[in-house]
Amino acid sequence: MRCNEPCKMTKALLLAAGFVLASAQANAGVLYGTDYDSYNGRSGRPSDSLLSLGRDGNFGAYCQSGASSGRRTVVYPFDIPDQFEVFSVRVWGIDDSASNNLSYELVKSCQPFLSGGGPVRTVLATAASSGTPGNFSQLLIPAEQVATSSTCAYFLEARFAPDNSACAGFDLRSVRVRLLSNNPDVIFRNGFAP
Amino acid sequence: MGFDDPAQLVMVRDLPFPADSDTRAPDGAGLGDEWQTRIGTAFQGRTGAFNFGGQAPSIACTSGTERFATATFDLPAGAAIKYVDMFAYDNSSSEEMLVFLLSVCQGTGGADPPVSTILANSTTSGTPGDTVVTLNLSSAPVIVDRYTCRYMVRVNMASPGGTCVGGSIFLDKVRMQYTP
Repeated sequence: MRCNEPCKMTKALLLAAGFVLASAQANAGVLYGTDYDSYNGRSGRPSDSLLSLGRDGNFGAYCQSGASSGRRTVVYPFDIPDQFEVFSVRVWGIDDSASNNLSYELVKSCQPFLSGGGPVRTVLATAASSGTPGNFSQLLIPAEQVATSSTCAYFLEARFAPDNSACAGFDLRSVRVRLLSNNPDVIFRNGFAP
Repeated sequence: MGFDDPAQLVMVRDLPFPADSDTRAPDGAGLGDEWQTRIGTAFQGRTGAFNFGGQAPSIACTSGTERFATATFDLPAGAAIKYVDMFAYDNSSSEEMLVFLLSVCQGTGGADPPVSTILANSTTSGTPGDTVVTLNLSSAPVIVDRYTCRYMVRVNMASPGGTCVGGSIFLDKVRMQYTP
């Protein structure tokens, strides 16, 4: 098809728009309020001091505990500002274990705003390795979830083995966690000073 | 409004009228306040002798005499810390749980040692079960100085000189309310 002058201008505009969109992808946090937070596997916190946690040289975490008592979970607390949308959590790991898998739960824990009340845990999404895939990556996508950070806390729990059971050691590693959230109100987020 | 063009589109955020500064509400009461929370599991022992366990978000101090645990908060420069709320469970007749807001500051370029300051503290009382302990700084908020200081909350999971009481005392979370 031949292209006259207006057509060439249209093409040029489309090309420019394409570049803008491409750069928007690269700098999405600026334009769209999307936010990525990455955590090394070893930055997780053991939920029990009986859990012996090792590091694999690249800040991946693995459980060194044998069949003694205690939980076998590592927790990644998230800092999610109020009203941000929680889109997804991607996890990376290594599973060379024939006996154990690495399972994940994205958890919301809520309590009353200003009165006593036990934390109410809600599992928003789950994922797990299976078999012996070696390197693996899984995506946890909650149903639409707007953070209410005044009353709730958000975290990911990675489980290396059932409670009080032997871990698979170096064969099962939590390598990385990435939270994807979105600020729905980039410009007026904090309002104006009274 | 300071715009020359009368057709200029101006967006104004539709916020509720600011409430009294002492009002607290989950939506910030129109004050633009925000929150930062550290769950119990995020607290680390003052030393490696701190023994703990529990299901996230809660931890209990399970044994021994090391009963202090600390979490660092990461607030924006210039933020005004107005409230610190500790959510806990206390069913111990012998021990209480204490909470401290600390700043740890150093000289800007020298080799001065860090100076720790207790900015506020309080404690649980009796055996309330699930409870909230609030450090109210709203009349004189702590202004965050990221250049020289770090800010942290430390809990003592037993009374001074006491020992850990296991599942009789749990730390669920600590939440800061601040104005950015």
